Amino acid sequence: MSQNDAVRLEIEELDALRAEIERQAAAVAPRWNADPEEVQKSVARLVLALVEFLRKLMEKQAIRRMEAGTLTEEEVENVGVALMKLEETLHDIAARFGLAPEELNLDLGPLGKLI
Amino acid sequence: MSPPEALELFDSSETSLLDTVDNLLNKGVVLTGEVVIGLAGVDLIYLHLSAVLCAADRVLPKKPKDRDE
Amino acid sequence: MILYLYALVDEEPAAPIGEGIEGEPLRLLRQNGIAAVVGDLASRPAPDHETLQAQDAVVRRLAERFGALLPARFGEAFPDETALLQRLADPSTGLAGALALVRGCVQMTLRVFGDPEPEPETLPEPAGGPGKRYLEAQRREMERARSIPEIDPLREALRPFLRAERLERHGEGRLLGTAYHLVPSGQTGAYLAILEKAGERLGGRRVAASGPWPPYAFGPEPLP
Repeated sequence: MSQNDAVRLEIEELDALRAEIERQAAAVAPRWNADPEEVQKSVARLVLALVEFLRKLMEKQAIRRMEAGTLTEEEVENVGVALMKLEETLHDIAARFGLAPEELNLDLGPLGKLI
Repeated sequence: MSPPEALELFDSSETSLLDTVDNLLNKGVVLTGEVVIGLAGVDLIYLHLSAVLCAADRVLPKKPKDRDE
Repeated sequence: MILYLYALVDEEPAAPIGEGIEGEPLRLLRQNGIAAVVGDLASRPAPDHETLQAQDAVVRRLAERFGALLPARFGEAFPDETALLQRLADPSTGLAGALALVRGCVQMTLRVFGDPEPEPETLPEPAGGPGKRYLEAQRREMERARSIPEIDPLREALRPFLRAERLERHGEGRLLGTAYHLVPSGQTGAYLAILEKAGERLGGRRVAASGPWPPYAFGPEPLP
């Protein structure tokens, strides 16, 4: 690509790129630092985030098998209901610790992007 | 009025940096799959997930579909 | 000491492979037709900008030495050769297939800026119980996260020059999505020509192209 092709970015696009750089750089070393003063909440967040990670993983598998036709209608329904209820339960428990659902989406680094 | 310039071919430092970060930190082959957790500022390596997880229907034999009717 | 992985290949290099990010000599570890390009480092490198750029430079040079190469993610460090060879021996890694896919190709990255198209009117609810409808809704969301309909006309125009494509839709902000394109090396000129001509099809959005890069985005999926 030649230098002649370089074009100035608009300000808002520079900002969008910077935000993207920061977002990705921040995900490099996913850390759940349990602040001693908020240990309970931190532990809850860690545990729930891990369960949510596994739940999303199972959900992805269930969808793949639904698409591939290797689940019966009954199995699709049962797995769907189970995943749905598990998600609701996780959100309920999270709320009791003052955690919003988004806080359970800790980026697990290289394995974090499930969708 | 000509249409606004809709296509840009970049070579600016901003996009180079984003591409380098995106390519090396977000993409690329993962063989180790470590998930690192820090506790009170101390890093503890937690799991090597990618060596363990695999799709169940590729591992387990298919169950015979017996239906009690 | 750790064994640091730079890339995966499936043949001998066309020229000496040179040094790694700390000037350490690189070598190949071979297992079952796949080879890892590695260097010995004192410890796992930290991902600061200089180190990232150094690794990118190493990977670019390596990409010129092999017909097919898959860059490793930054930070892939092993305690010893045995650990790495064990991973290479595992057929479920999908490496052989991914190497075949990227042979002779480079990656072009397209970033799309602008407003998203409003979501299409809700499709009719699928039949079935609540569990099935839930899974179907999640499936649609997963598909949407991998689509950028706003640039479909552009993608169609580029299709003859793509061996593969991976799309990511971003959550918010002006960066709408990113398209990673796997383009045979000999066709990058035609690919860029299409991009330049396609300006008027983009409906007020802007597309920024960067590349060519080694095929970072076309490795095998890490999870089932």
